[in-house]
Amino acid sequence: MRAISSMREYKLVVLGSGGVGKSALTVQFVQGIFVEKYDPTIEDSYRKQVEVDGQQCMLEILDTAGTEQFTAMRDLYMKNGQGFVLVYSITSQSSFNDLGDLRDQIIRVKDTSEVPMVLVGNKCDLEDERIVGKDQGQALAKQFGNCTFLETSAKTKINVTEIFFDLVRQINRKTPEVNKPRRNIFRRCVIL
Amino acid sequence: MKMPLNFLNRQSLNLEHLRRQQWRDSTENITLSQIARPLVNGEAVMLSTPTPERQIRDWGEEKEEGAIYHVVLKKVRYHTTNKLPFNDEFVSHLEWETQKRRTIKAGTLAKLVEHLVPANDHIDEIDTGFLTVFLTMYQTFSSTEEVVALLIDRFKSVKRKKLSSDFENFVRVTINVLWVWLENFPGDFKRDSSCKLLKQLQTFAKNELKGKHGEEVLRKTQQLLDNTSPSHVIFKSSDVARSDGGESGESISFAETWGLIDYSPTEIAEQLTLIDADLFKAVIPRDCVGCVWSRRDKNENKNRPSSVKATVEQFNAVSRRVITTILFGESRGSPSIMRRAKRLEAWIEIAQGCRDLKNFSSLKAIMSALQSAPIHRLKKTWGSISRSHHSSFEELSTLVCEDSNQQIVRELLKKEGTAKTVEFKKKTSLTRKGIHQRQPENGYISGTVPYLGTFLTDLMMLDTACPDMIDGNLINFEKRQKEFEIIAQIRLFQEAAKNYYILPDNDFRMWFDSLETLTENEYFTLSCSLESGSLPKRQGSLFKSRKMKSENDLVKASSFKDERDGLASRRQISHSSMRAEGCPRIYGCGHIIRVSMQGEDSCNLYKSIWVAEGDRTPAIIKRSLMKHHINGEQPNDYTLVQILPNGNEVIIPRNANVYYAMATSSKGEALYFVLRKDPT
Repeated sequence: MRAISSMREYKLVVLGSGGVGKSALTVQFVQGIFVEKYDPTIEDSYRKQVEVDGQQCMLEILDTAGTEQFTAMRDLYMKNGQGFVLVYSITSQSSFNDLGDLRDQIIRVKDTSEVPMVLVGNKCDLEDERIVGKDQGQALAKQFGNCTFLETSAKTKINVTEIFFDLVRQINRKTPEVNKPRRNIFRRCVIL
Repeated sequence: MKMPLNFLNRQSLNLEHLRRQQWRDSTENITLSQIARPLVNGEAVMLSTPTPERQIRDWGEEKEEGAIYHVVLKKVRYHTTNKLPFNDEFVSHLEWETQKRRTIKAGTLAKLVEHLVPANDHIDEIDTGFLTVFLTMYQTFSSTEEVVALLIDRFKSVKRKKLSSDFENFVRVTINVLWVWLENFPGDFKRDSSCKLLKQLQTFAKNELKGKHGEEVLRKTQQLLDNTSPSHVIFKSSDVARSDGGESGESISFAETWGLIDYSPTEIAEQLTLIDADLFKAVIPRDCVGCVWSRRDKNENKNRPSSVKATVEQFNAVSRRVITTILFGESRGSPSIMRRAKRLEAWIEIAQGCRDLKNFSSLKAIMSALQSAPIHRLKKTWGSISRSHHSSFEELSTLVCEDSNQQIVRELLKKEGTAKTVEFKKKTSLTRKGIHQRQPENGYISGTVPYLGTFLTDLMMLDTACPDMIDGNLINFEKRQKEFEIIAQIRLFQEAAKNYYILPDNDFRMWFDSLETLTENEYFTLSCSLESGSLPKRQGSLFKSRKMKSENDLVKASSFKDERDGLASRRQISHSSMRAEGCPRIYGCGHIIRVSMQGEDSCNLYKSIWVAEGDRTPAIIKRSLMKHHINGEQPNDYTLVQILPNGNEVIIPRNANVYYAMATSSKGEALYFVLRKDPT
């Protein structure tokens, strides 16, 4: 129990248009294999303990799947996340185009351009239906301040854990010390 | 209603036992034959009837060709006319026996239909919980046509091959299925405009289902045939079309927009709740499954009016209006920090009001807005709100927090969601001055509106995590069962949402609809102009790559009834205040320019046009003409000319990137342009 309480927590947010397979990436990562007793409503459905570079980490993944249209929620998601997975589908140009706006928004909310982020081109198993080239993905990653770029497939389990591990490493690099997630600014003392 | 009471009872009984659908014991038989509890609008009503779990024992899986079953052993009491005291173990144990019950986990469609109308089970033993789940979910793996055809085939083959030892009972089972289907899901049959299915069923009922029960099916089909109006679209399209900008209807000028003061926070919370409850009640739970409504790759659903969409739109609309009312002034001057703080406080009180009304939808929408970048960054404003509002805000934030899979609000919904009365705990935050003056002593009757997004995500994740088919060709019915449980929850809350007694206030709706909304970018820019704060220095380059939204959005965002009083003056506010606080004069990714028509008497008759990075000359000319109400003219016939402060002119090339082509002023002066018609 003590080990868990001292474990560093990472809040990772998965963003992208509907239908790009965000949820598949999350489920694949958190559940690994198909679980018969899967229950999406319980507390730790999206929590996973992993070891990254010899350090135990607790990842909590916020997947926005199903609520993409609740655009008003985005700032809230972004405000609370420490690292971001921006997902498009290599079979959908529009899902690729949508990411520029999302990235701008993250940077606006975070008030810095140095946000741990991974650009993900999902569904790379569907090579026949590819519309967005790998070079386009790489170029966008470069535009996004040289963030990590991965082409993944939740279906064939390619590069899935890599996304989340990379994000953890980015967060570690950015804030090396083990510190609790920053509290809301209003938690500070109010001097009367 | 002449339907055999027995059917109805059994149906409602099993609806109550959604989670333990296979459970049935005779104690409930007795109670149910005494209490007739009809279905409420055909919707599942879950009541918490505790079932002794010890009477069911798991017996593993059973496979056969085309199906996998889950088997349980359960104690079943014999039917008896003697009403014995239920708790008398000594007497009653003599009347129990252990029976094997199968529920289907996966199977081919034919097997599922077979399970629906088993050949040899007595009607008392059929898995009616399965019936409800099947009828709610079958469209995720099949179609009405297919199921009807299979049901009829099944009936004919049982009849022909004499598969049933008690054929009369089999007929009753079939009638039961059809009747429940027609009664509870009439929409399934109305989609097909030629009513082919209904006619097919009618013929079938006429020929095969004799007797008075069969006539019920006949009557039901006739009733549906007679009723030609499209039924299943409950929500009004006018609700969906609620405009999100000044596009339709009248835009009230800014002087009037701040009507918040005239309504108490409680009243606003009530009115928002009323709108939310109406929209939520109109959600067709089946629309939420697998989130088909939101997927852009499912074209067949594109044009289907989605009941979900209306809720989503309202959610976003509330959120935007919160931001609008905080950022915009009530007069032309920009609001002072104190005034903004007051509005912030008002919205915190409204959010608290929503919480008290158990309206988690608007609560979340308001809290999202308060924590959105344009509002959250207003540090001076936040610093000026009262301490009690601060802690109220903090408390409410935990309710909308996404941590631990929204555990806090999930627990809360479990606890309070279906309770009809709200009991107030004596909490400091609830008894503070200015908040909840209308708080009653011992709680009051209140409905519930949950945040729909939670269910949508759950269903989406479920859809992802569980395969549609298992073992190749078997429909994974267990998945549908799980989805059904979430749908049943939505229905349960829809019932709870009926418990509001709030009168609609049309003035409120008019005010709400008339409030101007901007794009996220514009909000942020406006926010920066109000409190410069820590605007990132690289903002210019950051947003350079941004493409402005479509032209439509622009027009929408800036379509005012009175251009000069509206947008232009607001922009000027932004201008002046930005200048004062030394902010860069960049609106996210564009400039506002003032375009007048050459030849008009005064330069004052300008229209404000948003020039985004990447906008070409023809687009700007077109937009300017449109705003000047000049129709039928070709943009090519005009030249766009910038008038510099010193009177010089800069002719903008025919196809330039206007944003870069024009001269900008470092002093934040307005940018004047004229449109000159080319000599023919």
